[in-house]
Amino acid sequence: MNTLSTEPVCTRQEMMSIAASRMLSSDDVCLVGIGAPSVACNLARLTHAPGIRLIYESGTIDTKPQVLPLSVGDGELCDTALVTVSLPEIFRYWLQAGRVTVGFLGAAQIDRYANLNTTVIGDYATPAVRLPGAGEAPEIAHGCRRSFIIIEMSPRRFVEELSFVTTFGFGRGGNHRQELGIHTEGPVAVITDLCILRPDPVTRELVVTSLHPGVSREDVQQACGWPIRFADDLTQTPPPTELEVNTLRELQQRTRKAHEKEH
Amino acid sequence: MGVDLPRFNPSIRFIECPYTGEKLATVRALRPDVAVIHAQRADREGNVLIEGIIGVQKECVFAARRAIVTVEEVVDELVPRFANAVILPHWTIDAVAVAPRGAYPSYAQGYYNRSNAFYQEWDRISRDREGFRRWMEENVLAKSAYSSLS
Repeated sequence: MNTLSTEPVCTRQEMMSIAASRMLSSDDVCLVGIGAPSVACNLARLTHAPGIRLIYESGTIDTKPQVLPLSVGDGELCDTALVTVSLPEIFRYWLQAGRVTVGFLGAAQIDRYANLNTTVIGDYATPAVRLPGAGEAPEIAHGCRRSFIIIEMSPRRFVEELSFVTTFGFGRGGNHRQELGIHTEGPVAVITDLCILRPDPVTRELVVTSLHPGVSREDVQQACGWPIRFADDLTQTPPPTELEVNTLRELQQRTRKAHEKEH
Repeated sequence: MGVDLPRFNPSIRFIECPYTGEKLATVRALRPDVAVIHAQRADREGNVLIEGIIGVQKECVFAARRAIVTVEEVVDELVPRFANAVILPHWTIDAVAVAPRGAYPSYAQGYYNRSNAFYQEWDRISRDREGFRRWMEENVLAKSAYSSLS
């Protein structure tokens, strides 16, 4: 077991943001979901991927927020953007036209084929929990060349069957995407607070490919609602660097401060 | 495509692109009776300038049969004016009303910031109907417009 004695200690949630940020590069044009994806994408921009072009679905293109936005409609995103365009333009000329290389999404629930639920828990008409809804996630997952999903792992989140398929990942697995005429790659990695999962190249079932430091196979299985598979060449996620941890904490502290201020 | 929403929303239909054969999802065009939007300013003729995250504000006005625009202020001239600024000519709008801080607790780009604290508080207020109703009574129904905001 890795003790992390010489590495900066961070929480599992911080490790999730850091591992997710490493998926991005300066060459990416990235459509950013609000919440956890936004943390990871801005962390990438502030560390190893300064050239990354972040787009929020509100139409803010190449935006460089100093503090994390509460919603896609934040003025901060517009103030720091190269240009702000209308919603129809973002959908048509950017997303549908294939100008976005990466979509970064969060979700309330995920199944083994990386389909996502952000609509309801329980029956649609009489739900146990009404979730925020689709937003632009179905279109992002459909239109971006490839997508990443960031989600904390627990049996309530990693479920055998979704109450509602809000966003299509690999459907029933295999070639289901292609059968529907979807030509983009789909989810290429799911980054959690415990591990990284990637789709099997044939069945498209999510397989654990990397464990975060200090996390065991048993930890992962306990947090998953289906019998999870581990890759034959299972690796360990490199521990966080001091730069990653410090940059992340500074970003979140700046954000807290800004949100406490009334006006 | 491949998701559950079309099973519950009959307004979502599918068509085949007549050029490529691609299967596409469609929704019926929305034609509201009235659109109400908030903008930064109007000139004395009633031409309206919108800046910032414009979303579908312009589309709302053009989709609706009538449009009402609340503005932060009325000015003599819409300056500085860029050739591609989002301007709604006065003859596309039915009424302009001056409503300073009319976007509160959200923001108006260039005028004031959003109350993030309020947005976070809203999670608590809107959690159940009783809390929501109490807040509405105290802050909206029992008060004259904007008396709580100045």
